[in-house]
Amino acid sequence: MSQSEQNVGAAVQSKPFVSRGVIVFAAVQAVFLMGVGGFAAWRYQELTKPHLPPVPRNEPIRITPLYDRPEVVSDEQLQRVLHLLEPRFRGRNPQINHVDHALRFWGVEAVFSDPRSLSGIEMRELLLDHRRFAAAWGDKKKPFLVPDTTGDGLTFRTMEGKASASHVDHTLAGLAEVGTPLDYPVITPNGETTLRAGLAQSLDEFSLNQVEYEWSTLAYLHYLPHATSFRTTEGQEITWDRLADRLMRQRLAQGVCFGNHRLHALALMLRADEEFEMLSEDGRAKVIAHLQDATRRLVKTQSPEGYWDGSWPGEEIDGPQPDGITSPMGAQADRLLATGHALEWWAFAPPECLPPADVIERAGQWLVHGVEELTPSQLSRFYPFLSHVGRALSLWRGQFPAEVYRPLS
Amino acid sequence: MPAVIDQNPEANDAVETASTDVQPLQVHLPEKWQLQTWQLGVVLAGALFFMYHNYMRLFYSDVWGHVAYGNWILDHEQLPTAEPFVPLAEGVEVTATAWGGQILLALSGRGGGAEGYSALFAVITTLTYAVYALAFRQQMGRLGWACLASFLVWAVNWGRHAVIRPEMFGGLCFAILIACLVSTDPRRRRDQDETDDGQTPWLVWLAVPLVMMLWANLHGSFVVGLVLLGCYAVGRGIEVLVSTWNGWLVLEDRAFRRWLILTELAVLAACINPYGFDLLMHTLLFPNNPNLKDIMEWFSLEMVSLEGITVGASWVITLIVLRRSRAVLRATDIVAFSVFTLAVILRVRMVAWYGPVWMLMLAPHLRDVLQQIAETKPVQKLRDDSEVLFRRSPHNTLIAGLIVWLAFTFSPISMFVLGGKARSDSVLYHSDTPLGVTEYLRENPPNGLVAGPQWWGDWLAWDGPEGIQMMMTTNAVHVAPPTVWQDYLRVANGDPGLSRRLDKYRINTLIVHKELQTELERTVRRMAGWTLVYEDDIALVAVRGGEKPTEPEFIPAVPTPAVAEKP
Repeated sequence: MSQSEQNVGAAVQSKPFVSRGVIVFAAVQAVFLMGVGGFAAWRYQELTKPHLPPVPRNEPIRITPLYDRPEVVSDEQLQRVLHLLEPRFRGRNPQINHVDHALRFWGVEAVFSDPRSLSGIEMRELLLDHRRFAAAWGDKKKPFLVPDTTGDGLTFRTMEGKASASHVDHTLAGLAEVGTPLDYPVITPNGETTLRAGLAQSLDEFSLNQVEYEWSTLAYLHYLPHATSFRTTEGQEITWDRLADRLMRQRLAQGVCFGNHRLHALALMLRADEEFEMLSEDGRAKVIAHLQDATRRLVKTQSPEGYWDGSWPGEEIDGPQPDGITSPMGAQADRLLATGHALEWWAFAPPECLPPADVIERAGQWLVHGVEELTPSQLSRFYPFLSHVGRALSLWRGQFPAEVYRPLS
Repeated sequence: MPAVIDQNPEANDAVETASTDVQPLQVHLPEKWQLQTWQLGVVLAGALFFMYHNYMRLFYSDVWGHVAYGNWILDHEQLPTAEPFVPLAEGVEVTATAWGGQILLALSGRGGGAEGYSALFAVITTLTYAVYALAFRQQMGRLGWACLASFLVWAVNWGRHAVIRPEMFGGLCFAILIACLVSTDPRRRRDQDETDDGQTPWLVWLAVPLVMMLWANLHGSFVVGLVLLGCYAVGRGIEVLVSTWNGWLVLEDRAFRRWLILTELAVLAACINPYGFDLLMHTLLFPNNPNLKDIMEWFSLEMVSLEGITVGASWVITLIVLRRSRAVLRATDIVAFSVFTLAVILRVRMVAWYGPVWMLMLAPHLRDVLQQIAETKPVQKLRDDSEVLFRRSPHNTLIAGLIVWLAFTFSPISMFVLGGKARSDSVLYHSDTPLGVTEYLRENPPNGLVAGPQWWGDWLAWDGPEGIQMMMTTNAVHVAPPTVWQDYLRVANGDPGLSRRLDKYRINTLIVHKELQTELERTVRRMAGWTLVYEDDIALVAVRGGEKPTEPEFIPAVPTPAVAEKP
């Protein structure tokens, strides 16, 4: 036994009972440890708790077109184009990305004279009711609606073939744009939930540097315009200024549809900002300047016929456009795509971001003729970006397509 | 004596009288200041140790990020709440756990340029191991043995001994804390008996909280000090409990109370910082950052590595010494050594803290073994034969002073006192520092984000053109969102999809470390749309397109997006 052990042993013999000093010391230590431990536990919880997203509004905001210019498209021309672009998807295996584009194009109020066409309500059911989806695609097809195991999240199957959406959060954004409330019931293979679960999952998975973020932005600005910021699960605070910076970061033509969706999201952000003051003063100025820059480039690169293609931005600060910005569908498809999208975001943009009137008029007329010249096969294959053409032409008459569409007698 | 020739006999008498009174030059130096001859070797080793660290080239990695942080804090007179130099990390909260150390680094740079960092590093490192030597001397009784122990600590930490970062201040604080522990625990001291009555020098009650408060404001490693103190409290508690099997007696034990109260005081003192208690929580939660799993110093210990070899050697030495030692192995030693061994196994960067604790545990046993060796006849004979080595002489002290002075004058640090020029870049900076790249970039400022190896990011941000925006720096690794970090890794490795990722972040300038990024170098050399614009022995720079774009027809409405993202 060591000397210290002997000392301790001696202490045992001489002090068989617990002294008051020990009790006091133990009590002080207990209070101290409980205090520090409790405080540490509270701080730990505070520091590690998941950042709850802001509470969204149930009804999405409605952003309406600003202009009505018959010079861009006449009433008759518009009707002809809209009839060509009816969503004739009734039957087996309707392509989901065509359906969600069509729903966004036409809205839920749309009703058509052609029996082959799905109404707006039918399209929404196809997207949000798994029973309808299974009836159209069969039971063996992987469901479009994918609930998470907790029941609090919902994703839309994306980029997995014809029975899925083509872009991240595209379906969610489309539903927001056509006014779908978050408490709208969604029937998944596991039961019923609401569209709120879809937004929650999107917010939970969002990263500022994810590959596609344009539609996420659109969905958020429709349901969360009142929120000043939220924090991603990566710990990054997302403000509207930061989202706008992200939308403006890449080269103009990079991204889906030659970068036009980013411009569209920015234009809608400006509009929402007029009511909700989401952007800082400097942030708004930067967005306006960015859209003005895009407009100047479009004016400069517009073809004499009135169209644009993938090289619409011309030379940028980091050099000329890289070669090969074309889609596999051909030059005419690219022109329809680029021109339709440009006219669509201009329809929402504030006047200071618009080009001279003749630029828009030439583009509108070129689109009308371009669509009318398409074969039925092309109309079917090009449907997703043609939906932007039809919507853009309607918007330039100051109305959404369902409002201006007149069924054939 | 000089003879004075003078024909005056009276004068000659006077000279003779004076000559009989004059004594040879005497050195009146107290004996305790008179060094033994062998101690000159210790002084020489210490001088060389200082010179080695002062001549060490400045590494290209995170030191420059810390300096930049320090300057940012000094310039803005506040702590950063977001990463100031990596735009992609904006919006992520930053806790400046090393703000004090960063300020000290920045101040040393402002005072002495790059030589200032080098001098500060040499001084702090030498001080650290000097304090260790003093602490171990208390345990081992002999300066030579203590210096050997201190050297072994340095050797165990060999893999990280060249790291210049605020962690070095933490190292000094740890050394002071260990010195406090040794002076507090009488059983650890060579000249004391085996009992510990719990008496604690008042200086320790003051020093431990003070050191912990300073440490918490200098570097996030202060948690290590708290753990060591906690190990002592737990270890002492176990000792008493195992001896008595009475929990109340543990609470009654004065030594246990001392360690417990010192630990508590240290925790409270560590909370005196700009973040309060949250700094402790942040530091404890820091290793959970998902990005760190890709950083080598956060890997677990691999035996076939520099750190693995030195730690493995320490285990072998421990086994040999404990096998031969007659000293008591205490519970505090076992607890502390186990905890720090586990720590270094889990995270290799803990080797910097493992070494001192290892020697703290081992020193009494090493002393005992060395004592046994010293008492053997051959060693005794050797000692008798070399008596001259143990003779005290004032001349030795003078020679020691000369050694110290020569070490000082021949070290770069002397330029601050004696004047002179700073060393040239080629000997001041590590040979892999991309000096040529930053020179090129200053002449040709990049547009948008720059992707370079993260270990060069801090240097590029420091020495590159003003406002350069790096995709990643070493200091931003734990701040960057995981998506960005993963994308950076794929870019740095030259993984497939490089072009797409460069487009995604609008990166127009790529910097490649040719030795460490061979795959990326191969890819960049053949990547369409990119041109090599600069290349030297260690690096190459590629830019999109390759030619400066002509003046845009209309002024870009928005600055480059990366600029727009700058906080």
